[in-house]
Amino acid sequence: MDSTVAQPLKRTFEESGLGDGTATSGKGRKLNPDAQKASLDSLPTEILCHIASHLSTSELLSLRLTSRTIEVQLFNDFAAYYFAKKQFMLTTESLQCLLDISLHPKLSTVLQHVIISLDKYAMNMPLGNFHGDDIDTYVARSIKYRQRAYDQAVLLATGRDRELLAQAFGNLRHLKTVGLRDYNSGMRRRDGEGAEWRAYGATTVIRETGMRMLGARGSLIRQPNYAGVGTASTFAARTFTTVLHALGSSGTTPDCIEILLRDELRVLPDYAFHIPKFMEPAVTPLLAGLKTLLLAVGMNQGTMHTAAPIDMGPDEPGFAVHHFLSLVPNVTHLRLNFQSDDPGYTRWFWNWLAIADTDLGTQLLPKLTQLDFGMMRNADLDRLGRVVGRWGSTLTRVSFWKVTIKESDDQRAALQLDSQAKPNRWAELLVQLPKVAPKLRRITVGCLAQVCRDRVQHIALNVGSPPQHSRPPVSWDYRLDEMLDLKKFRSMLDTELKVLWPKDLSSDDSEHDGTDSEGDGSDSEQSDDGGEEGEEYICAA
Amino acid sequence: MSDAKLQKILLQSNDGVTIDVGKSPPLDIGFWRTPPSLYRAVAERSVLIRNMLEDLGDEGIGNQAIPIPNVNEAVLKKVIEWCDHHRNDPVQPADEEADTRKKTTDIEEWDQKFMQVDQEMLFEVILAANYLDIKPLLDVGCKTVANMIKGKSPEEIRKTFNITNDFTPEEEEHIRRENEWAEDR
Repeated sequence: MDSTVAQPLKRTFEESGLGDGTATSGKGRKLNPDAQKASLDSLPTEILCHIASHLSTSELLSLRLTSRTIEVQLFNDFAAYYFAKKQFMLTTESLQCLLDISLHPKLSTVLQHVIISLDKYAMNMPLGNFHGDDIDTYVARSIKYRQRAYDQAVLLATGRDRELLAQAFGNLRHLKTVGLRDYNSGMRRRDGEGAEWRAYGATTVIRETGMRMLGARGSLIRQPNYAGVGTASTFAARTFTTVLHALGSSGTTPDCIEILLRDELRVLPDYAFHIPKFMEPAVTPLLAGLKTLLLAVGMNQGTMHTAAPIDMGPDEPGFAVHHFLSLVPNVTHLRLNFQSDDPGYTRWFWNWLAIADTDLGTQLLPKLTQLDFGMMRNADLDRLGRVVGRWGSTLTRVSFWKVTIKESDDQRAALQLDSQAKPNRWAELLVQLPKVAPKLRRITVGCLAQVCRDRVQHIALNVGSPPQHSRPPVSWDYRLDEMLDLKKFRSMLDTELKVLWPKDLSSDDSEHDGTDSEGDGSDSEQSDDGGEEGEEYICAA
Repeated sequence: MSDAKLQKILLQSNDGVTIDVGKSPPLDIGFWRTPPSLYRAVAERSVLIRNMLEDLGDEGIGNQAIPIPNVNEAVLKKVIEWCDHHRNDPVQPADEEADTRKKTTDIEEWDQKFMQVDQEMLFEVILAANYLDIKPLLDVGCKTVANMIKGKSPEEIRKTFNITNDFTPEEEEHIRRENEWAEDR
């Protein structure tokens, strides 16, 4: 055998410091010169991956390129980290990358979660918004931006985006989740604090033009003139319907659709949930297969004409989102985030939800076991209780994230008679839930607030000090054994969900300044809608 | 707890050398008044040895050497040196989350100096830490290697670790492509 001859030779070379690898290995794969000798490329996979876990993206990619032995060992971790969940946007480069990955023999089976983010060029970007050291630089940047903007406009106008998406989805045999987002996750820890997971291609745009396509709230252009698709809201609708149609026609059936939208300007109008006749054959089986549906609902100025008028009765038929919910009978987990929390819309939506079956003729969401409420600034104690009770026979988990219970007229009137009363609306609500939903095993709460006497009081989780080195909890669970005795449960809730009363009403609390009345935007890392960290928490079985 | 008689902990390396945990290297307080429990604290930095000691019971310790078949004398002594220096470290919570949260490659000064050895020894220590289940030492070793990789091109990494590029040009092109998709671009 060659190796028995090569081994002593190789050892002598290395001992004399002359070995450079090439002289001895000759042809083909490197022969391990000495199985006893520890070296980087002879380490067990788990240790090599441990080392790699301390590297940034660019360092890891360099290490992959050093040798096949190392690359093969790193592959599973590499693939899972970068390709199990990946974000794309509606540009040619980004969708081409998605298609290429879907054609890759291994990576196509790794990709389980595709996020389409609402990155969009603005047609009315003023020259003055571009920056550069000199006039040539920023003019060049604006030209580049314009070229890319035109490219996206035609991609969308021709429906090429849907073709690319459908092809790619069709190749992704293990696709489980498809998401729509209007923000980037800031959890790319490997690349340092604040590093983001952006859509493929978005960083190149920033580098070449200095412009971020997915503006945060309060970004430079609040109402951009989007190429050929009108407002931010209509672009969101266009993207959602395109993704839905592409998925339906691809034949791939994920379990989960996640709509995680934060900016109220990007709220999906009602028509985004409309399934016209021509889409029914493709989309109905897709929707029927969904187990999890995370929705963002609401309305804004631009969608008034399609959403409900303020005083519409709860049994008013004919709205697309209602019909949409009747097409997902196998959903067991529904999240309702209120992206724009118009009081009238919310009231109307909830009224409808509480009595939904009556106007549909079929049972709505008969398998629902988990219901999440998020981002509600105008929740109503009575209606929340009724909606939970509506699925009382099936629900096992309920969660409330960034929900503010407002006060009813009756409650306000009652408080006017008793100026010292300090109600705890959340304790009042939660203690009712085991009664209306007897199968409930878990209630999760986080970032709660209530309104009393027209003022917002936040709720602190008064659950003891956290263990060393960990942050105080942002959310909290109540389990079945804590709910069995309702009296005990109520007193536990009164203690642990501590209402932070303003100074003039309370002697025991003076720390809270009460400025964050929106219940939003103060904690950049914890996401608004239970995405990322919160989501892991909420979704943990 | 052990009784008053001096209790030794002996380890036997794969090259047949018996090492007294209490003697090698000398502890910074006099051997003659070193409490026996200290040897245990040193040896028990290794989860593997801790479990073995528990299985052996007090009776079994002291007279017979515990065989460590995967580690040679030089490496074993080096590992014991580390365990001795870190014998009073608080036991790390088995919290995976805390692990992923701080992915820094900061290494404390003593450990940096400790890790200034030739590459073969470095990798041997890492392998031994893995075998003996000494998570903090494994982590320091891996961080040391990661720091040697940082800021280097693939060619420089190959030079540093004497790695042979065994890619075919086509394979290399595939990897470059996958890298492009993974990059923040």
